[in-house]
Amino acid sequence: MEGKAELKSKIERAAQLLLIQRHRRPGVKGWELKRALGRRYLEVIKLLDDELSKFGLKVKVVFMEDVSEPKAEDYDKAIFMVTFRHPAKITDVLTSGWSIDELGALAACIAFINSRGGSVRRKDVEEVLAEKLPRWRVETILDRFIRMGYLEVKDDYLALGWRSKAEVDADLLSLGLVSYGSTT
Amino acid sequence: MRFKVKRELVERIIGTCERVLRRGLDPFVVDVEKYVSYLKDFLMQSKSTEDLALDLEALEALSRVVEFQGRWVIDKSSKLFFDPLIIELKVKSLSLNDLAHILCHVFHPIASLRIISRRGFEEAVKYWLNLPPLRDRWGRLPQPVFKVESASIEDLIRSRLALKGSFSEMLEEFWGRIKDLSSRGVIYYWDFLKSDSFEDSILKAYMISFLASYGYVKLDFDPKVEDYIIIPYESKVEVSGSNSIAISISYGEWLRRVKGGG
Repeated sequence: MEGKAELKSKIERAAQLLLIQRHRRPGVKGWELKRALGRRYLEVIKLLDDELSKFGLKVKVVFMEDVSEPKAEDYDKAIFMVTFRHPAKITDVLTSGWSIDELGALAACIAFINSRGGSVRRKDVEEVLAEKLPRWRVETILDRFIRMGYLEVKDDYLALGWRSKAEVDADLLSLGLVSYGSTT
Repeated sequence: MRFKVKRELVERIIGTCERVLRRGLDPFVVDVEKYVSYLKDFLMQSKSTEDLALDLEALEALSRVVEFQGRWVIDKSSKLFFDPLIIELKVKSLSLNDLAHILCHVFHPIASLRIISRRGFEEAVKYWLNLPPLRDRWGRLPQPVFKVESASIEDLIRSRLALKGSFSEMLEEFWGRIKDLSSRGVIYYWDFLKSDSFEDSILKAYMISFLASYGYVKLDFDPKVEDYIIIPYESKVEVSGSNSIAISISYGEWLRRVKGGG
């Protein structure tokens, strides 16, 4: 690959690109990294990921479409961002502006949508949330999740947004739900 | 006539395929075999090039659905499968607190920083250095001309700068109106708010808020219609240890619930 100094400089540049938010939403597109770091940017990202692991962080790749075996062009279109390597503590999440109700509602939305193939009518999601929250709050919370990127609107359907794909392992969430009660 | 109906059906097949592909819905809801045989039938009857093009378009849409079915199967088989009904049951049976704790076991928040870029900083410095002092900028504004004119209290009421009567009189009037309506049947909050203008609805909501806070009326939630019932007291009661109910009324909400009657 490149010389040691050049590689170090590329890792630093990659860290700056990924950690400092440039656009309205965090994260950098693969093609932007390719332009800044060169054709072999995935190798630089891998080295950065190893470095970040020392601080409990990791590079997360969110693909635009569901891909089982991503190719180079899928990485170019994907969004790269830095996330916590290990799950966050609930106390930390609560002190960062979330209420317990909102977290619970987000869990319900993600698990419900994921279990139904990734896309559910908004009305059906509202019905599920209305079991535990007043109707006016349901609408406010859903609008907030959409604004934050946790959910996205496709006609009158709701799907998992880019932020849910980056921050939440939806399959593990479903597993956690199903096994809850049997393990506690 | 029969031919025209069939053409519409072909258009509907294209629409269905596109909806499934666009929304990422389960592609197996599309009965490909049935649609292909239908297209074959349509092709036999086709006379114009437009029909042939439409048939081709439908076939292309169906082939994309078949391709999506393949990807769907690969994707589903690579993931854990959970029965949607079990998940729904779990979501409904667990408390929000439990759901929040389960989420946090799989929650990896994004780490990002917001800072000003070097270019942004340079722009800001340039702007600041070129900004004339405040006294120079104010000096460019024309001198205000003050003119004293008189206005009657009726003018102020018309301009909505003063109230007709006192605020307490207004509260009493609203209380009386609610008592009168209540004697004729149940008053639902959103029904009471119905009005020709957004301003009037907001005024009513504001008055109910005061009447409830000071013990003139109470609000009871009716889960069947998911709305609050306004129940007036015969005489003012002392309010102690009451709960706050926040009811948001945006213009959009007003249009949907009050104006639209929904």
